[in-house]
Amino acid sequence: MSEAPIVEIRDLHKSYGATPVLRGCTMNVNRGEVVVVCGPSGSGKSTLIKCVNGLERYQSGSIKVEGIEVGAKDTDLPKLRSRIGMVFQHFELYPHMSVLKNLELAQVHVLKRSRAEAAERGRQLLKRVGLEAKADAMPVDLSGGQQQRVAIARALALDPQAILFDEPTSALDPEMIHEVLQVMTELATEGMTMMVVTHEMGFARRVANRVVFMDAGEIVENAGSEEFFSRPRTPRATEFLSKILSH
Amino acid sequence: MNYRFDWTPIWEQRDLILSGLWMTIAVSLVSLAISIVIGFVVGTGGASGSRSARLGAALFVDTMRNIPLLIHMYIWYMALAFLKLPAFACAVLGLSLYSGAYVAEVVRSGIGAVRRGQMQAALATGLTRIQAFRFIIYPQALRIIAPSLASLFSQLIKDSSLASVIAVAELTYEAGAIEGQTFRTFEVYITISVLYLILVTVASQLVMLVPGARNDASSARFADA
Repeated sequence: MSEAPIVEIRDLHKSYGATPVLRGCTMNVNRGEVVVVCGPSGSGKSTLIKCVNGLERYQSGSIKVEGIEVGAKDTDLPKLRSRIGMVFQHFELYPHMSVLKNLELAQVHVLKRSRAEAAERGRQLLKRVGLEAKADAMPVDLSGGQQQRVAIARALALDPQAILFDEPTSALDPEMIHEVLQVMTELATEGMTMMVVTHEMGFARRVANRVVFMDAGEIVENAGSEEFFSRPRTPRATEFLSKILSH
Repeated sequence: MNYRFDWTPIWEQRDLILSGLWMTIAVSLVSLAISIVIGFVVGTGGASGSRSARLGAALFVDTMRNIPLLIHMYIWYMALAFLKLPAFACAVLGLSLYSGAYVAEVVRSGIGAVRRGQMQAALATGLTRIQAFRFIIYPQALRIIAPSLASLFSQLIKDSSLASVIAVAELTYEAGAIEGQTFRTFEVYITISVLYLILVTVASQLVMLVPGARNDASSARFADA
């Protein structure tokens, strides 16, 4: 690809006290690409994705988002974050606001759109995730799957260049996982750049361009999705795949 | 006991009682406003990730809270004597610092009760930390702490009676003056007790007007949302 990657991670190290969490991670996410990050729990994948938009700090190495160093002192983090959406495991909708207000807030206060503009864009996106009827509902009155779809709409409301997904289906009941994955699949088809931490290997196989496999704070494999699933190169990835696919 | 109640002297002194009542309201309201500001600033510091902010907040809270309010009154009155500040300002300062420390602890626990992910979600959309507190964290914390705040504010109104020791002419001070002239001890203190009761009731009802604060069922649902 000729274009510079949207996310460029180089030799990233992070530790909590004496415990290393990330030990020299290097990877890219290119424009239009869907990259799934997987690995056993505690492997550092959630920490890695939270470093990308500066929710977690790192000790050494570098992360560039659209060419801007995330960890640099003079980086305008709010501006950088407004260009990179994020979807969380536990949805994190604002419980004291209606669904539509959840979608409007950052549009109004970060992008400085008018209320009317923000509401219009909000309704558009609710329609897109199939929840236009829920605009005035409170988050608590939605199912988990619906909440996560609203959270995706909230991320999209800022017209981001890429979206980070941190285990978006891990807190969902099995029957709701599908509706969320479907929205994500549609996004991918439309060309959205996505970095997805997930255990959904079906999604990874069908939708991802590349799979990054992490273990103990290291990136062990970084391969095309087809290649990763049919010919994992390392014993650790083979073992992980056999465990997760056999159940 | 053949004490005969006689309310006429109290009625004759109603102007004094009223002016005392206004002074109590003034001292309480100004102290309330300042203690809320102190409480939110210090409480937010106490809930922050920065070790020095937490330490500073804890130091402030422990110092201010552990000095009896009566001593606060004397200290600020004496210490600020050279500034020639009116007694009103000294009383407000003492009450604000003392109550502010309590408000800070309540605010800190309220912020702690808001899910950690809420701050991350707000920051992730590009809001600044201050915007995140204003739009996301404080509104949720306020609902959780409204009942505790209501009882703190009732306490503050009652505590304002200690301003009488530094000659702030509020309700308790005027009651003492009227008692000295008329010797109608019971009548005058019963009267001001009723007035305190009314003030405190009104104040705590006002705090519960915070959206969602009254409805326990909805705040419970809200908590595990």
